[in-house]
Amino acid sequence: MAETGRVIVITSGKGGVGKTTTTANLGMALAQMGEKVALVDADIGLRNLDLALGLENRIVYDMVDVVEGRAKLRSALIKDKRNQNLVLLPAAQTRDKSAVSPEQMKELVASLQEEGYTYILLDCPAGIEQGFRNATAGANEAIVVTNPEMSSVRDADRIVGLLEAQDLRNPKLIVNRIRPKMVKVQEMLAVEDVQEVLGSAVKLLGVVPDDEAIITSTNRGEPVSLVEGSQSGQAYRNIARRLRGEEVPFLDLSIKDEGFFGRLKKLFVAG
Amino acid sequence: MAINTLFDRIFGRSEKPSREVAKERLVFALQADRVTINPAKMDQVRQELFAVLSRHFEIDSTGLDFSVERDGTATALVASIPIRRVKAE
Repeated sequence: MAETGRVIVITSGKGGVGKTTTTANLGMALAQMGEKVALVDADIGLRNLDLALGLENRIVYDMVDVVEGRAKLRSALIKDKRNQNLVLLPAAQTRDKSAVSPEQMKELVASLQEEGYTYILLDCPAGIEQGFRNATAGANEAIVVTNPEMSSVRDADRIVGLLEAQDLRNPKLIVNRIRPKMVKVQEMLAVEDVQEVLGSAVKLLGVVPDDEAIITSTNRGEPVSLVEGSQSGQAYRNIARRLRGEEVPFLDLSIKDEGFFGRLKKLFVAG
Repeated sequence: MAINTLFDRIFGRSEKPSREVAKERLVFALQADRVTINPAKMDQVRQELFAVLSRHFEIDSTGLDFSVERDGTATALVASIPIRRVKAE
């Protein structure tokens, strides 16, 4: 293993596809596996990763305080009480994207690597403007999150091109919010459709089902990857294992044929 | 197969499933997106191309024509570059 930690930006282009939830859950899952994890909320002005982790009441300093020298990096990092391997560097809430430059972001990431973090996950803001450039500047790998829905796949395609221009080639893909029932009746893009459309440069890292457990666990500030027995939690734990280089089969989200008409139709087709 | 289609008709599923519609629309949209070139980039390509060709040909720059043409799903860069003479080696 390399001495320096991996720096992975989690991005999507489109907002609301699950970047922050993904960052929080992968971070927690990796920490549970013994990795030393730093999560960086790069969405300056629209702080949210703290909520996904339930750490919103413990923020004293933020990223901009560190960059502008008002706080030491160590004093701005919030240690998670459930898992000591996990820390959060919160975004500033009262500033905007111009408060940090790509150069400063690189320095920040380098300091985190010096602190010995093995995984540094950067939660990228939506859009393709300065916030995106900042977040990607510090990264050496990228994860693209998309939903099985046209506009987010289109934006993902655009993001893949922009990442390439930043020398972040072959990003890994997470298809989030799959509804197996809708895929089954051919009323939702399937994971293989998304893969086919985006092309072979993008490698599938994981599939996360649309799961009510994510809503309830986010309400409680508890990443779903800590919840045993939830399908989405399992999906995130699997993704974390794949990131660490393990071969883990994709979750079987297919729905078995059911219902009277389904069976009847099957009978006719078979005959 | 015919019975299957008949069933689909009876139960109001004569339309294409939306998954297929979405995929087709997406493929077309991305094809167009991927070959969209902004004017500044286009100008840069034109200049670079002109520089390379000028090393070997004397070009009539007034008749230079450079464009992106689309025909259905195919997109091509089309250049018409009138030359006056080949430059000596």
